[in-house]
Amino acid sequence: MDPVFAGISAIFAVLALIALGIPIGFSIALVALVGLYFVGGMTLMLLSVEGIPFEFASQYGFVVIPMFILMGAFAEISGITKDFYNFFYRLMGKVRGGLLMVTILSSAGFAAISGSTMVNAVVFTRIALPHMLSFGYDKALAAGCIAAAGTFAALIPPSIMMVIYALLTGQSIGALLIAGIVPGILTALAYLVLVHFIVKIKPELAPAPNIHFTLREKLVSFYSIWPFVLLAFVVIGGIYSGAMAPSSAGAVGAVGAFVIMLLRSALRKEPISRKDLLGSMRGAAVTSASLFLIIIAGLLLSRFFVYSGFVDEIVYFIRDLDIPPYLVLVVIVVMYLILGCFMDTVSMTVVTVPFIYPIVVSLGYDPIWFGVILIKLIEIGVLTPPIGLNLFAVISSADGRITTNEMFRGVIPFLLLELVILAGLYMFPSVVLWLPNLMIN
Amino acid sequence: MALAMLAGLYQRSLMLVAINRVLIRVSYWFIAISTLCLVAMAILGTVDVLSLNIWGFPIPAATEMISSAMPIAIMMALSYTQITRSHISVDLFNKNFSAFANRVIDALSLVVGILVFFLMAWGAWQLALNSFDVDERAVAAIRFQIWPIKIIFSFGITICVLQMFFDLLLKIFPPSAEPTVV
Repeated sequence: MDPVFAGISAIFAVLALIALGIPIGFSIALVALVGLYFVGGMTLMLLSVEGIPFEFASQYGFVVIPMFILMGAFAEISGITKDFYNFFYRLMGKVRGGLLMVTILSSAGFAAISGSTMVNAVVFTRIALPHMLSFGYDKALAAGCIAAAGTFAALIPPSIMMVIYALLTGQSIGALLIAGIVPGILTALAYLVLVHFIVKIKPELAPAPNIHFTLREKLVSFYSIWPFVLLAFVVIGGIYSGAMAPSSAGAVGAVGAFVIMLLRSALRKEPISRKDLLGSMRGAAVTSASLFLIIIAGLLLSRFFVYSGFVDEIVYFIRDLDIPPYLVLVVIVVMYLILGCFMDTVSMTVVTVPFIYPIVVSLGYDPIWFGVILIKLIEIGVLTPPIGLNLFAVISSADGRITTNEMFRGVIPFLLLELVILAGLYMFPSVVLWLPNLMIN
Repeated sequence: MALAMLAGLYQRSLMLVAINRVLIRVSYWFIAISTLCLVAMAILGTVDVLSLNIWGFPIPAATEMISSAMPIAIMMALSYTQITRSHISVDLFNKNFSAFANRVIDALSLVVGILVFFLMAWGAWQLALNSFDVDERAVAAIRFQIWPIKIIFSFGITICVLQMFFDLLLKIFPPSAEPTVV
């Protein structure tokens, strides 16, 4: 069988099964197993299915995923998101468009303890949206800002997507997590500047609230968030300094978040129900299991791509085209932008990375840098209709306050800004690589 | 004749419901074990880091024990993931399909899932039995046995296959098919 035909058929078969609504992990695994059967017969298929699942599940590197999920779950039920929001509200609420900026900053803050973009979007829709609407903020802009700011979790460590990319490509999880810090902070700053200009040009979109907070009130609100800020520093600092492997840092983060949650609950006399606690732990186990299945399926697909000769053929083909590497990258970016409109983030990564990664590396691009570019593309993917996961997360948690049209309209300025940031990261790769290089050195 | 067939179907679907109930109960136990494993991994990982950074030595075989608990945590959560339909999927286009088409797709999902998990279960049992035969142990400071973990891992996948199989049967023979006079 022609390797290119086999590879492309497999990709289309996966897309068709996913589009039918068949669970992503099942779809990828089925196509991979059928492909392995055709390439190497029953022996290769059975050997792959026998070895890969346990081998991967017992890798210490994979432990980081459930640990970060657990950390985010404990942080979420502790009510820290509301405290982040209150702190930044007291700090910046007085500024015109301040509530949008507050949402951006608190979302970036929460991203440092949670790796899920969707959780960020849902939580801040519940906290920030009613507040903004009560102050007369433009619905579309408010919803767009919440959905877009939610994507910080994909870039700012602990990012689950970064870990998945690292596991699929064999790159250092620590270096990738650290590589997301500077672009994440820059993106948050760029959002603040964008909001500033939008409300300056159209002041009616965000009325200036007549409020004032004393220094004491500001300090008191910081008192509520400092334990989690400290925990984020310990986790990220531990990985950066090499004092902890990412998986150990995840474990420390999970235990730390649990302890802080218990202390906060005891000090505030707001007991956390056993049901909520068990539910969040069960949720962490279920999310980890679902992700595990998809990554395993991705590894099987990756094996099929390699054994069928698809990866080699495609790399040689691109090399023989003799076109500048940046043009290839532009094609890859366009491909991800189109896929992002129709596929969810995890499946997009798992299906494409096994063959895109060798191409990118063969063109001489840095794998860590490409990891960040990929995550940026994923951020854009969760904001592009019709399958923008964050858009639907905001709409579904807005209790009918936001229409689909308003949502799509509101996210456009942020989407355009994301493209500008993406171009900036392409032109200045040192922005991404500076911190991981410093860490490695 | 038709009545007898329907009554038979009804009896069968009642039996399926009963078996399914047992499987659901097992899944609840499994998710509890999975959650406990996650908590144990977090605690052990933290103690290991603290021990290494404060006293200068790690907990013996902590990394290996955490790595070994991971497959249990994952596989024990799979059947619960199945009963709560928490597998990640894209349902954008399904809204436009008819109810019948969606039922067919649901059944197709289960068939695909059974196929994939059956192969995974087969592979896992092969691995577990080989490990048992050679009394495989961890390459660590404490040489604990690996084969019980591989057996639990295989058991977790097997229960998930069974869960899917009974879900499929319940789709084919829904319990609401009460016998009626024809």
